[in-house]
This record gives sequence, C-alpha cells and structure tokens, in this order.
Amino acid sequence: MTTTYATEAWTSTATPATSQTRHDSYLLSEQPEARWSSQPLVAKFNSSADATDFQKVLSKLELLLDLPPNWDTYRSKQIARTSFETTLALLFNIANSAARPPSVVPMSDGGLQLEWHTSKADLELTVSPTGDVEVFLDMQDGETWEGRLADSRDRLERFLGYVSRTA
Amino acid sequence: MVPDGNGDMRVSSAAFQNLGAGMSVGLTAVLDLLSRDHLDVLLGHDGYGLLRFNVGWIRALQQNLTHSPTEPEPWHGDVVGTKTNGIKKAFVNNGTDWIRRPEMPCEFDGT
Repeated sequence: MTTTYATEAWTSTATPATSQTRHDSYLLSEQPEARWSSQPLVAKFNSSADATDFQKVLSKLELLLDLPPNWDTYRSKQIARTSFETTLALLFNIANSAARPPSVVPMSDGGLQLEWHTSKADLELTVSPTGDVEVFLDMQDGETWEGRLADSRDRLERFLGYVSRTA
Repeated sequence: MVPDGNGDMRVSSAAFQNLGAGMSVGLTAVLDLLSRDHLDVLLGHDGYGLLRFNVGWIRALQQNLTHSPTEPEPWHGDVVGTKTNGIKKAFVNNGTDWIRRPEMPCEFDGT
C-alpha cells in the first residue's frame, strides 16, 4: 500500500495528496546533492502504519506551534515560525527515509528538537528559532559528532541512517 | 519526556538549557531554611516533574550555581554556564533521582 501526504511549506496540516504532479515533481528533483530544505513537502509511505506514525508526529508539531508564550512557566518563547517551517521540511525528508519517527520537543528559546534514542545511538537535531539545525550524534561506543547540519539531503540521510528502522 | 529506545521514558536534553541567566532550579538549602516542602518548587508549574541533582556534581561540570530569588519563589536559583551537548547529556544521564515524575510524560513524544 502506498500513501502520499503533501503540505504547503507554511502550514502545519498534512493532507492526502490530490495531484500526482506534486509527487512526480518530488521524484524529478531528487538528486544526491539536492538541498533538503528546498524539497517539495511530499512524503510517500510503504504502509499505512508508517503514514499513521508520520501523521502523529505532525499532530504533535501542530500542538507545539499553538503553545502560548511562557509555556514552560519560566518565560519561554512561542515556537518561532522559521523553526517550525524548517522542522516541517526535516520531517518530510525523514518520512522519505528509512528512519524511525522522531520525538518532537519544544525548546524554551522558541526552537524545536527532533530526537531519536535507540540501543545503538542517540541522535538530536536542534532547530534554532532562526532555522539553523545543529546535530548531536552520540554512538553507543562513546563516539560523538556535533555541529551544524549542512544543507544537503545526502548528509542528512547519513545521520538518519544511524536511527533507521533496520539499524 | 521522550522514549528512551528501551521501552521506558527519559528526560529530553531540551529540559537542560539556559534561558536568560541560566537554567532555573530550586535550591533545597533555601527550601529547608524556610521549612518548605521540596515539592513546593512545583507550585504554579502544574503537570511538571522535579529532579534532584547534587550541587557538587553540578559544579564539577564547570557550572556555577547562583541564588536568584523571586517574590513567589525565594528558593529560585540558576545553573549558570554554557550548556554544551556534553553537559546536557550528563544532566540527562544523571537525571534519575525523581522527587516527582511528570504527570503527562508522553504529551510531546513522537510515538
């Protein structure tokens, strides 16, 4: 079964794709060095379970966008629109990869964080209020990697490989 | 709280970040001096959990502890110092001494 979802860049609602053209445009623009942040927000799933998982994460993200200022009772800021848009773009790339669905948590500075914790690795993608993405990969063997995520889908997928469904 | 990959939940590293002067904490020494219950730290913070960390352990992470009382929270303090990924990881790994666990731990997890 194949389920496809698409959404506009600035909205937080995933809706079933009605146009095959949108999906085709994603496939046509797929190149190894393509920028992950400029991809059309379309995801293709191999099972309805995968689609449901993705929809749950999007629903969580939508909830976080509605958090009022001071949501942590310690003067936290509302989730920044730029952080939300970047996280949404990341999520669609994640949905199109073999990675498990992440946990999404709000940051008190208005940013967002995607997290995976497995028996082999911990991976965190922290999206700042201005949309910069920081990676922190912590392997079970003690090896760590941290730094800014380059705007390359190839690079992103390399990190996601550590938290894939088969890893 | 987020799934830890082993069927349990763990604190997200996002809980251990600075906002303003540092990371807000409640100082047990002040609470004890005022004869207040440690759980009073959660007054006005419904649904939140409370973890206990040793001051000496925090200082060993090159973090400073300051007393920054507010009117409703005379026990309020800040853990001041850069929260690198390594520092946040240390807080996560040592965040096991619960005074009270959060009431709704799964609210923002992605499962």
